[in-house]
Amino acid sequence: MTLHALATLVRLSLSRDRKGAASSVFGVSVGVFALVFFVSLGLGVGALVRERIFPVDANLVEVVPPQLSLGPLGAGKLDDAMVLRLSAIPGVAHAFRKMSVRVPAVSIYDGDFFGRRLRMGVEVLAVGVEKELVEQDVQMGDFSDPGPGKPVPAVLSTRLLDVYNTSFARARGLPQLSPSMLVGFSFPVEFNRSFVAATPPGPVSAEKAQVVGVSSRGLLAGLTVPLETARRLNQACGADAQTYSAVALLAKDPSRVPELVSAVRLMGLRVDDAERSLAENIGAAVAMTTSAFALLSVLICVVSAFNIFHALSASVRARERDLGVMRAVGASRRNIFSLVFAEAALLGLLGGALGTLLARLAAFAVDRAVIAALPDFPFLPESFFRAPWWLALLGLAVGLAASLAGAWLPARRASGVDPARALAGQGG
Amino acid sequence: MISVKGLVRTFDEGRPGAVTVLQGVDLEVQKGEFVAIVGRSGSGKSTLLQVLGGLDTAYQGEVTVDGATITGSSDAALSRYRNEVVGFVFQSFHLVPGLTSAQNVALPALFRPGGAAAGTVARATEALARVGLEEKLSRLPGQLSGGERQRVAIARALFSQPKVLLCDEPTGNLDAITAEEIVALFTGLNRAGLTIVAVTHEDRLRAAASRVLSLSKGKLS
Repeated sequence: MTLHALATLVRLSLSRDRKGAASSVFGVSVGVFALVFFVSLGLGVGALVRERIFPVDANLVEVVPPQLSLGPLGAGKLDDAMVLRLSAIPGVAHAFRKMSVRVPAVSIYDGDFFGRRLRMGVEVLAVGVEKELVEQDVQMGDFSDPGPGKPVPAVLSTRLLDVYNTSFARARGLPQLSPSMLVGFSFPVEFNRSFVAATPPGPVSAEKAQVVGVSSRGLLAGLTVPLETARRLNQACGADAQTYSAVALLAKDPSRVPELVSAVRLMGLRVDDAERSLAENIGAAVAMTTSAFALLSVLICVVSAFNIFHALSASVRARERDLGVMRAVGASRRNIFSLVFAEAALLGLLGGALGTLLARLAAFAVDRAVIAALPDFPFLPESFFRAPWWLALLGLAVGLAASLAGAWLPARRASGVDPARALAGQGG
Repeated sequence: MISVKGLVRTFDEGRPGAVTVLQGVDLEVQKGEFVAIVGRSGSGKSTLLQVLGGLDTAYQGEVTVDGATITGSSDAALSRYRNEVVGFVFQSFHLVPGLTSAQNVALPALFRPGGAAAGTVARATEALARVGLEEKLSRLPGQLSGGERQRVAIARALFSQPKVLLCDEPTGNLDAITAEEIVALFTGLNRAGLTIVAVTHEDRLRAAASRVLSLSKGKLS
């Protein structure tokens, strides 16, 4: 029997019991709907946590000095020698040095701010990093120390911009900003000056910072500047310009991160993994919740498989005589099995497609409703759902699998119909 | 054309109440013959026909049709045999509801290894024309009279140009006039060279046959 013949027979069979077919499709679609909806929700929330709230770089390990100093021996200090040792750990692709600007700083802004008048003063934190750590997000210049008297290139944090747009800008009636709008914007920064803390002896260094990019690797609440700029500013203010406040180790592969962490701890250093742990814990909670809902959805699919089983069993019983006729005109057992199985496959695929489509529509509706109902808050995503291409395939595959599982026994029963008995007439 | 040797068919074999309906039946049918098999209800006439048609395989003995032994053939081989060598006409017509006359007639084409070939519709139309129903191609079984349904069933049996037509009480559900028309149809087909084996109680069909055999107590005479 050819595929065309099979398709013809399936169409004819299903058109005879449209109500039963619709019921089976609906049953499958409910399970697939739940599965696709909850998995895409889990993926979306997981991505939100990983990529926006705690954008942890899977390959990066942040090494910081130990809380307990070993005194004059200098052990545990993040100096150049230690950076060399860290770079030599197997599995490390690169060690990015970071040096905090170790004096307080303030920014006093009084002027035009993207079309609005802005007058404010804020305390500013700054950290110097190696160019390679952020250069992929730098959109202006080459992110190197320009020397005294020239604007300091600064990278802002993606999350800081998000917080500004969703909270600060609204509260102060300021415009929403995008990364590209910010590039080139400059503002004054005075180092070795503070509104709240005592400042070390030394001159105030009045600089101008210029935004050159926005990066997820930028300091959350401050400026990320070139490493040599931080060193220069510390030196100018008489602060430590030799040791580093942190070193970010880039692993050759995420799977080698645990190995790096162990090696770093053996060297008497600490790994700042608070954010990573938090992200992992929240990610695990999201994954577990998603798994629970996915399991529930699979159970619904199992129920729909039973529904298909009952529907097809009844259909086969009702069609025994027709199946006998088919056998009489040349259908083999395999043909009959294929026919019932193909009917189930079509129902499963239709149910899978319908369930997937409904899940996407529901996700769209939920997004719209949530965005309309919730106030704007930091990290509010455009969508709480993620629907990668494979999720649609998963929906179809689960619908198909549930349907075929339910069709197995009815198909076997149909192929085993005794044509002689099914067609037994009133003859002797 | 047909050779049956020592055919024994027992229902519920090995169980209490087993019934042997065919007890060593021998039968030879020549090509172009029109054989009528008569007998009382329950005598095993339909069973014999189902064995000849490859629908019933749980028998002992040997059945050869058109030079090929069908006894012990695989399901696939028997299916091909039913598709190409024999055509069935049943008392209850056994048309598939929901299919038009033309679709019912062309049903065997769907089970060919190569599928429905080009010209299937034309051949279905031609088969319906042979039974005088070329005007009712698109009618569903429910829209046809009993006689018309049986004609569609005959057209379906003829669709694959079988070597043997097996008829199980083909006029049993028809009124006298329609039955006469169907008998005339069979007579014409037989004159055209088709071998026919018909199980019947119908005198007219019996009279039209070239040979009448009686099945009694599991034996043909």
